[in-house]
Amino acid sequence: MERISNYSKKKYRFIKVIVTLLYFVYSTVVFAAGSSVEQLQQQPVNVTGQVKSVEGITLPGVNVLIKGTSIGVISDNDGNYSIQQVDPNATLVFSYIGFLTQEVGVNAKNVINVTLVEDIQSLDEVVIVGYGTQLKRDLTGSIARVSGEEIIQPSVASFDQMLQGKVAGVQISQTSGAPGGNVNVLVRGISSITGGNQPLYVVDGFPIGAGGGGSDMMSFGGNTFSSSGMANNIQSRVNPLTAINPADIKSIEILKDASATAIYGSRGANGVVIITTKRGKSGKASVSVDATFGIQEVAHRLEMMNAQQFAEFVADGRDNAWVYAGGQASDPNNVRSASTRVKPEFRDPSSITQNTDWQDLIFQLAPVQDYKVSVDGGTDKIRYFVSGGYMKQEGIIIGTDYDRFSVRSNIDAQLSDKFKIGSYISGSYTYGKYPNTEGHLGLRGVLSSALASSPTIPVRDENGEYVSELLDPMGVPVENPLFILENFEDNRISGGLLVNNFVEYDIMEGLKLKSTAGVNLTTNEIKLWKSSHLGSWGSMTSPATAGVTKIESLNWLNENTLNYKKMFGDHSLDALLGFTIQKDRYDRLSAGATDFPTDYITYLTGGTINAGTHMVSEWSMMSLLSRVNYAYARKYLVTATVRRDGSSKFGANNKWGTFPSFSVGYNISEEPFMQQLSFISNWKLRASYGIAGNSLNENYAHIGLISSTNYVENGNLKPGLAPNSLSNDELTWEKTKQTNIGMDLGLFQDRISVTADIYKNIKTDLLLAVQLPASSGFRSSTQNIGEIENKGIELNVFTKNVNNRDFQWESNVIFSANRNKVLKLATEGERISNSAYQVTEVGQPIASFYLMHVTGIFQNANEVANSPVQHPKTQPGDLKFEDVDLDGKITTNDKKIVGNPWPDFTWGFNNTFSYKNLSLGIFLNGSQGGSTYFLAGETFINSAGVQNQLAMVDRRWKSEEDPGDGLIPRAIRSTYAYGFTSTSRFLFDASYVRIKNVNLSYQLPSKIANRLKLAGCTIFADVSNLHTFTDYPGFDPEASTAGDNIVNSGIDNMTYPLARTYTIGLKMSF
Amino acid sequence: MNNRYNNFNNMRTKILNSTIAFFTIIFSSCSDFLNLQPDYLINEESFYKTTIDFEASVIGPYASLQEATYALLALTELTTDNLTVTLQSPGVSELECDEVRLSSNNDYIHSIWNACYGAISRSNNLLGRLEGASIPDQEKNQYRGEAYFVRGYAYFILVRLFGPVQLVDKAFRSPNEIAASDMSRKPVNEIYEFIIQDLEQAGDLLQGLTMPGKGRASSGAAKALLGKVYLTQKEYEKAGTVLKSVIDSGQYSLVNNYAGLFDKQNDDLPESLFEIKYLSGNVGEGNSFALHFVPTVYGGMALFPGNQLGGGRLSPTMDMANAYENGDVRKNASVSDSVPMSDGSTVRMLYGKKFVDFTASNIADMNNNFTVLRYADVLLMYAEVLNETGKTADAQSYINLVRARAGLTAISGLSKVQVVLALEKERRVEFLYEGHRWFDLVRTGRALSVLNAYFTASGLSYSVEDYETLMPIPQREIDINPALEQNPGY
Repeated sequence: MERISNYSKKKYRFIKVIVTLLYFVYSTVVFAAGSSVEQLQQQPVNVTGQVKSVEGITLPGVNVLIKGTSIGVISDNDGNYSIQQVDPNATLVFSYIGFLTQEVGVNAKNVINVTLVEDIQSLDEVVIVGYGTQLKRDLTGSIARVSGEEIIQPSVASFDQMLQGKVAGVQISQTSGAPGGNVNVLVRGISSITGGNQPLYVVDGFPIGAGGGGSDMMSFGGNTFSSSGMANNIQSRVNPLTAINPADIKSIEILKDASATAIYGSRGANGVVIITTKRGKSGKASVSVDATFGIQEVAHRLEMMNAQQFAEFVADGRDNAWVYAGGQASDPNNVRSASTRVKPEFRDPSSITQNTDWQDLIFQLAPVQDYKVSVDGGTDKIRYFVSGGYMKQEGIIIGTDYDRFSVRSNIDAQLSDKFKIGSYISGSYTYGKYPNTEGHLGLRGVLSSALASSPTIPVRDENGEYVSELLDPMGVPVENPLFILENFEDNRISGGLLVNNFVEYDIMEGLKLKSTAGVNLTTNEIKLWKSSHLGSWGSMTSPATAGVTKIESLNWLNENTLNYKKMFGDHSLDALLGFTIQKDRYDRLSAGATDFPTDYITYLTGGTINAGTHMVSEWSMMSLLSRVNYAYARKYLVTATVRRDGSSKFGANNKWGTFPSFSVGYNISEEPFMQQLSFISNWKLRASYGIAGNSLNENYAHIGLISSTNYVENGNLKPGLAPNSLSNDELTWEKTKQTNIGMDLGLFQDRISVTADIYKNIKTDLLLAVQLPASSGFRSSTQNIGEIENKGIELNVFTKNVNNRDFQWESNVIFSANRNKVLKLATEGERISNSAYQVTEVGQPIASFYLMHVTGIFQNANEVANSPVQHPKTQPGDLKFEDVDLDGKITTNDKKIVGNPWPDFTWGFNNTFSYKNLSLGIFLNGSQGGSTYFLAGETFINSAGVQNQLAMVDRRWKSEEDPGDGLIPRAIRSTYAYGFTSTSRFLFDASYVRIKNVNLSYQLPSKIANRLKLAGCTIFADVSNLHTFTDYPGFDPEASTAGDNIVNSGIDNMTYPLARTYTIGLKMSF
Repeated sequence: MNNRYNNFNNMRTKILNSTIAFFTIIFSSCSDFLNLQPDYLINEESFYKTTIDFEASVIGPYASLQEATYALLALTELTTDNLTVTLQSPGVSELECDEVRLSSNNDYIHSIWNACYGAISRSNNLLGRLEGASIPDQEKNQYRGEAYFVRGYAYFILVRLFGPVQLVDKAFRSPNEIAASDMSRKPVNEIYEFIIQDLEQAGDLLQGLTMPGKGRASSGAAKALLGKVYLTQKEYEKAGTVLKSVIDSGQYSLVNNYAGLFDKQNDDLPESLFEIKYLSGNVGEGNSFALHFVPTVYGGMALFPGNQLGGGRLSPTMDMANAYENGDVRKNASVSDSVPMSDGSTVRMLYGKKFVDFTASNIADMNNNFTVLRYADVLLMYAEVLNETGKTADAQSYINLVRARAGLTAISGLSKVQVVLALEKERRVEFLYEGHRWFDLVRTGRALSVLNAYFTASGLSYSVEDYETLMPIPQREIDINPALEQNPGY
């Protein structure tokens, strides 16, 4: 009852917001109409003003025309114009070659100053590259650019998520639907096993480090919730990239090939994502306000068995187990073993009236609000962009949420003709709650407990107490999920402050010195608490425990670059020389407590603190970098870069490494002989080769360490020490040799533009934990051994399908295919185990699924007798496995590679339809060919006759005549399938097609907006994750319990489900 | 205007000067800047200097032995007629042990291998580091003796389980040293020679020094273990000499209360020669035997506080429960078949009581020490020596010492063959849950007949074959080093 009222409260709030918005729109229209009536009576006016560019440069020769007439003037040398006797209701049209035409309503004003925005044709688009900018026309590397407007999606916390399906060659997956949860970004395939695979993120020139939002829940909770376990649950759950307010982003550049990334040297191999935030434009202050409100619901619920199906299933499973043990299915409970007894009412399923849908209880309609305000403006000398944002997202699982405050100030000051200084300052504060939503049901995972719970029991008994069958020998031994939510807390707080100052000095014409100094400070707090009412596994209760972790991370950077740009006739030269130095310090303090006298205090001080760790881990880097771009007649283009990196992370003999690249481009369309092919507006060929490195390994992998190992003496702990790792003075970075060939083609005045790339990347010196014989005393040592190949194609086709005055339709198709193959490991036959389910071996993709291969279900005794079996007691209805080693027995030696998590291809298809001021965007994306191991299936489709199951288990094998759908074995509560839990029957095709986003927006006509003194106003409605077409049985095919640990992606153990979000919003600028 | 220009000129000078100063500082400290050490951890350069450092290092080998106990029980008791799995959905590894059909992927095979070689390599490291160390001789000899003892014990476990194994006697400092060393399997007799050498040295070096408790090696422990090694090799004369010297030392005696050998206060009892220590209190040193020795009974199992459930991986067999003679006090101290429930009822299910603390608030963190060597074992080993060397009557008097403590009547007048069987039975009921059964049956050549008879009598279709008296080498080791041969039959 309480839940329902909560639901309707939220629904009511939602309606209220819509009504408010509609009223606002209505009143603005009425107001606009009213004011136009008033102004009809006014006298002609004389208008003067000045026209400037965004950079504040005055523009001479601008055409200023009274709209609908031929009356006009041209601005003078200082950009000033003056026009007489203008109708106060007229509109002035400002046009200038190379700039976008702008219309401004006179509104009886006498002074109208105008800032014209450059009309950036795609070719003259400026692209941000490492340590500089380049015209897109002159690029020789593979760089994808996405502008801030293109990515913006409402109700989404982080920009990385918004990039999904929008950049060719980049596979982006949202591994968890939790608020602020992890997003994986993989540029051109996985290439490292131990070294990390996330790209380097550079925010306004500051490399903030590799991405990865944590959320690796594979071992969250460990086996117990002891105080030390609580203190060591340090897995981050808040994606650090959510600290960046997406509305602040002007553009994102993704550097994919070595030509582009080698300038980032030892950190470039996984690609580089450069984020550029907005900066002020000179002119009067422009304020922009965005407000959105959304409602989220779980995008896909699992279809579980209902009470009747469940009762029948439980009885079936326990009868089969009793028969297997030698009994009769008709035997009563009192002669059966405890685990094969069946509740009497389950013998007559139709009599069961209770039918609890536990998903109803843990999922909610969750509101998400997002408010962003920014002000920008400035004078000739000083420009500013100041913004603030607040986002509040409740999770679709009750009790979960995420809040973010973010602020930014970007300042530029031109001190003199030669000196310029500036600053980027951004701060954020986020907090979130994640009360044990994921995790195994034995460890009180909320999702898995809810799904496992019997639908035949009520949530509360007649006294209002939560019902659970945890200790019921005939029930499902799980805790009530609502009870868990009340007795477990997982609160996360993080703060970030990134300040980067720069000074630029023009030494002489074309030669510029730039120095930056910046710090990036982040803090994280994890606070966990479990009440004494909650136990684990089969224990109803256990002592209350709490854990707190504080992580403080300080990174400082100094960069100094010298840049020389010069044109000599047809030759143009752009040269860069730089020196950078950076250091990072990670400081973690964790503590845990137990023995709380009461459950009132959830802080450590309430109990006895008896566990903890403090560690400080640092790395430092020093680099020299240089780049030369040379172009002849804008036709022949050459780029050469080299970076030399020194890093603390590597062995004494290999502290420094060199990362070169070379690339060429050829603008064929500039050739005279191409002029006759007038339908080709632009055609460029590109080729590049280079080496980039990956240094995302542990900070001290090259140093032999001694770690503590304890024993007992005289009834006390006796601390000891023993060698833990071997020294390796040879340790060095992983290197990727990258070859890229690409083409940019524009047809019919760029109505069609195509970018295509093919690439081949060979990763060498792979950092591997090389396995050592146990007799050496060391399990493994990190060595540079192994090679991996990634090759693929990328295609981006942009078309303006319809381009009428009133109606436009634009499409953008993105396609990427990557093939991954391991070329070499320590030994030819080595099989590296990435998880209990995945291995890496030569000739196969990294982290291929290595499982017992199920070939079907035994239909009859004859088939059992004539097949290799895993156990003498195998019976019809049991799983049939492939005898891979052909020894006539089914053992764990019969595992084989049965798939891999990497998709054959991923794609995005974005359509924008515009009719006058109305615009409709439809965005689809998809992934084809990857597999996901549905780890939760080991519980929810295990056919064990205990936990509730997915409804598909109702179509299990029941007899030879009723064999079900051929996927699910018979129900049996016994040593089911001989304990082979990791089998191919839990591996599913994770291909999907998703209607990712549908957005309808209406821009107020400029006439009305101007009268409202608004520069612009747009209202919109948006639905994200509208529908996903997939055969995957879990919540979402993209889910990955390993979070940002990409090597273990493709394992789904009840990850937080994805939300479908309905948003309405308003954007205004004035 | 001029003024303003000057200002900027000044600023330019200032910026340039400070930039130059900055670069000078940076470059001069360049190499230091890139040399970072983990200050919160100890690295090998700064360690192995003082007696305190070595006292900390000698702990390592024992900590490795702690990790071996559970696997040892799975491989030497679950594989026999003593224990079975009652868990509803057991793992493959447990079932393989229970049914004696071990595969090279078995978890317990891996963990015993890793724990034993962990103890060996830590001992090797200690011995190597001690060589040049300038610490007093008395301490040096003590630590060397302890390292020899643990290394000998670990090799003794390995050679009995796997036969020929790798013989490593030095510590490694880099991956290249490992790659360059001989990692092939050495013949059994070579391993035994090595073990005997280690235990003899331990026996000498540890003589006459004050022991810091029975959780650490002692001369008596080294001698008793050496006796066991000789017994296993059927070197009865040598075994007799060394075992008798332990008996005659007068340092050890049988305790009156058999159950007290296994309770949570079983510290340094007079019967104990060497024990592996555990400590409860949430400090990571507790044992979790109860989790394995006790079953899961849903519905409010009241064996432990808080309705804690066991796992049922190592439960006594019915055959085991029936093996005790009437009036044997050891039965009640070792097994029970009645699980109390919180509603006052009981459920009939067998479980083990040794090394289990039924008052523990966290049964994965118990205090009971695990006994590796105790005086009753010395007596029964000596009885075996006597019987094998024709002193059958004397042998029975030693068996009777152990029987008397168990409240049983003396045996007498048995033939040599009858004494063999009496010893087999006596050792079974005396040492349940102490990791002896498999080794005893293999040593006496009785494994196949006893276990196959047990399987047949229990209606189980499993069987033990001759090759299975040696266990498979862990698959991981063969994968790393394909030259390492697998035992025949696997």
